[in-house]
Amino acid sequence: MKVKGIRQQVSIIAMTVTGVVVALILIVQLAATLQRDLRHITDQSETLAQIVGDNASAAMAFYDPAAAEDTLATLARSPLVLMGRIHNVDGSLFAEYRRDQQDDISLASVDNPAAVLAGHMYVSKVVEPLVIGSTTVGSITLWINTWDAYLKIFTSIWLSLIIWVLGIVIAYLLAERLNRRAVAPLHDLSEVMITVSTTEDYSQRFEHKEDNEIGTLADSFNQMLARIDDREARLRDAISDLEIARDQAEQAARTKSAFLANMSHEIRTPMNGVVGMTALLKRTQLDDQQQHYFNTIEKSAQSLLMIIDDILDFTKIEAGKLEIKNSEYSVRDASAAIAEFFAEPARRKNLEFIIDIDDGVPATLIGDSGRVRQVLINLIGNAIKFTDQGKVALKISVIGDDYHETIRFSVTDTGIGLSKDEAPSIFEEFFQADSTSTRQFGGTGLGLAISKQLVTLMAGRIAFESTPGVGSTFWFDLPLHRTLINPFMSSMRVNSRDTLSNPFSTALGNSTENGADSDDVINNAMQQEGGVGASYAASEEPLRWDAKVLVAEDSEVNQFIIKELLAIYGITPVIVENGQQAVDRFLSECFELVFMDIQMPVMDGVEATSKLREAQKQQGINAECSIVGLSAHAMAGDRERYLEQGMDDYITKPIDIDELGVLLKRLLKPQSSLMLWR
Amino acid sequence: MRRVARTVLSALILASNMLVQPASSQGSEVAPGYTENQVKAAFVGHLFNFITFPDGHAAEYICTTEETAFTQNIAAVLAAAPTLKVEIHIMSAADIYASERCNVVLAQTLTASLISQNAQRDVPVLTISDQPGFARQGGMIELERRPSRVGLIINRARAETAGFTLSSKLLRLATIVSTAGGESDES
Repeated sequence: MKVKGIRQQVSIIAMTVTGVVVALILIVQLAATLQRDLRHITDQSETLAQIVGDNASAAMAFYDPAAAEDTLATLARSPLVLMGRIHNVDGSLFAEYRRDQQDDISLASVDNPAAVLAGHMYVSKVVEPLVIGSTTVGSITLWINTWDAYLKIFTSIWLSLIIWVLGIVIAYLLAERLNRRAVAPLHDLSEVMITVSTTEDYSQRFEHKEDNEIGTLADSFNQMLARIDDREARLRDAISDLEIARDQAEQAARTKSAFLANMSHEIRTPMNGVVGMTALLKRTQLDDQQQHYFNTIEKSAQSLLMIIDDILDFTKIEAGKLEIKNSEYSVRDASAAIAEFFAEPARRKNLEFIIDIDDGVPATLIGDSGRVRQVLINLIGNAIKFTDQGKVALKISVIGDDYHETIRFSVTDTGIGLSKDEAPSIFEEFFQADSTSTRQFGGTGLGLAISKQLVTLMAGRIAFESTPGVGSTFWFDLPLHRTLINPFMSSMRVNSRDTLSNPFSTALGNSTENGADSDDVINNAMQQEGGVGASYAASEEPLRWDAKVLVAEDSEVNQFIIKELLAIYGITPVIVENGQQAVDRFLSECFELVFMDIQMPVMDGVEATSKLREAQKQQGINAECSIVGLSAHAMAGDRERYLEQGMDDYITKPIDIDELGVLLKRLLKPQSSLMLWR
Repeated sequence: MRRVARTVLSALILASNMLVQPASSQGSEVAPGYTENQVKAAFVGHLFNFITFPDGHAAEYICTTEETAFTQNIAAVLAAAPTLKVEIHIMSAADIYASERCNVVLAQTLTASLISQNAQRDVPVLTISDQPGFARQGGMIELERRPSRVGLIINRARAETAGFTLSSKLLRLATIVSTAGGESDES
């Protein structure tokens, strides 16, 4: 239904009310007039009947119908009387008078005129008794024509209709006048409101001349617009300030990211030298004191790398640049790796380290195994760090129902536990239980904060329960994504004192280093892992290739390290100092593999790679040669970016000797596979 | 009681109004179903409604010299109309003349002259008779037998001289005459 405007509504209401009221008044007035006229006619007729009856009473008393009819004949003078009759007391007719013709009523030759008159609408009957003395001797009846009264009403109805229409017209005119004075300004005001809301131009104002409620409304509206306009101006200024602040913050963030990238690169580059040299040094014969010095250097280098990795992870998460990469992974393999990782630290503190996997846990899961491993290493590292006796247990189980399955990793220890005061802040970055513990246990305070961020990024949640002096249980739940073919694992329980002790027998020390911090614990574990590799590298002869390899590296230290590392695999590389030289050598010689540093003078590694790829594609030079990025750039997206720019693989500095071996095995021709692992 | 009485009176008046003897001896009917005496008796009863007695008096005693069917009908009419408070008494002419209470004298055949003489008294006496020529001989109200009805002849001058006031309604119905030798005036 269409909604009418106020203007129409005012007109309609005014005309309707006026029409109804005037109509009611006129109807009541007409009805009253009709009633009054009829009453008047009746009164007149009754009086006439009484007079005529009284005059005819003697004629009736003395039985003189002729005289009575003579008396009745006087009724002819009253045009309203159609018929008059005098009846005896028993109702018998004594005398009668009839008017011959009036209007459409003719009684002259009618046998029963009373019946004719009784059926006529505009005829009323008046009956008066005839009394002589105190005795009723009969009655006189007059039939009165009331048509004139109705005719008068009919005439009045036309007049009333004219008055009614006139009233409605006047009401309409008054409503229009009201509309012009009240509704029209409101309409104009609403137009301004619509324009303001549409254009959001709050500088507009409503011009008016009214000095009434509408004027007050318009003034209030204008004041409101002025305030909004002022507020808008201030808001625009504030937004402008905020935009400037945002730009500055973004610039600061970019600067910070660039700084972190540079720092990462600049720190990793010398660290590459330190780690590389320790790896090389480890392959030499050292006496006990030198071995002790070597272990200290290696441990310090690993700690420094771990701190750098933590800081980088934290900045990546803070910048929203850390991505979760889901892929299938084996729970058993991951658990075995964890067991291997912490076997030695647990053994050193004489702790029982247990891994317990429930029956319902699938053999393979989909997830970011690296990040899961990182969280577990943090939690288990902390557990071992703060536990002096007893055990540390990792339990993996499936909880929830068929529709909301989650996999829970819980780490329980019998350590010092957390007080209620410490609990709320445990996942905050840079949190340390207290200054004393910081001194006692060390650490950056980023481990749990990063763990929580990682679990949250993996759509999970992390929590803990702890009782001071009894121990703690840290657990995190992750959504369970099953693989298509996903048999359940049989339950597995691994105890570091039993099944895992043998593989690490060479690395398990006999010292118990209570009070080592979690980073120490992890470093020790990493050293142990690295130690395995190093021991392997030192004691086992690695694969050897007779391959032509080009290395573009501007740093003399790194040139030396990679030269020595490749030498382990039997490779003597051609080393150049920048990208341009790499391109020149590539175009003139045959190579099977190129290690390309990213950041170099003259021509960087990205541009050089592009030129090499172009030469391969257009000229077929070294068409099967692989290019591996080699850089201390370890920020998020670096690897992906360099792979997109044409590199086959990418490794970060400091170069891990095992990682290098795996890469060579994958990229070089299998001719070298004749050299076996021993 | 009064309402019942009125109803009965109305019925009797109607009856008296219609009482006309069948014209067995007097000839044709004066009103359907009623004898002439009944009609005349009713007329006598009605007369007191149209005649005003002098000095605020009212008709009280109707005196006559003999009892006839006419007087019996009058008695019946008066009995049916107690509000009139009129009685009819039969007495000798001398008693009528001597009586101070007789203010209405019904003069029948044998007493016509007496009534006429009695009417000369100072005491206002309304004289009524059905004897032909009664009004012209000095009587006041004469009930005249006409061919189909009973009419009234009134000696207006005699009655008004005696102090009676006659209703115009009555006069309109009646034939007005004067004492014999005078001029007749009919209306």
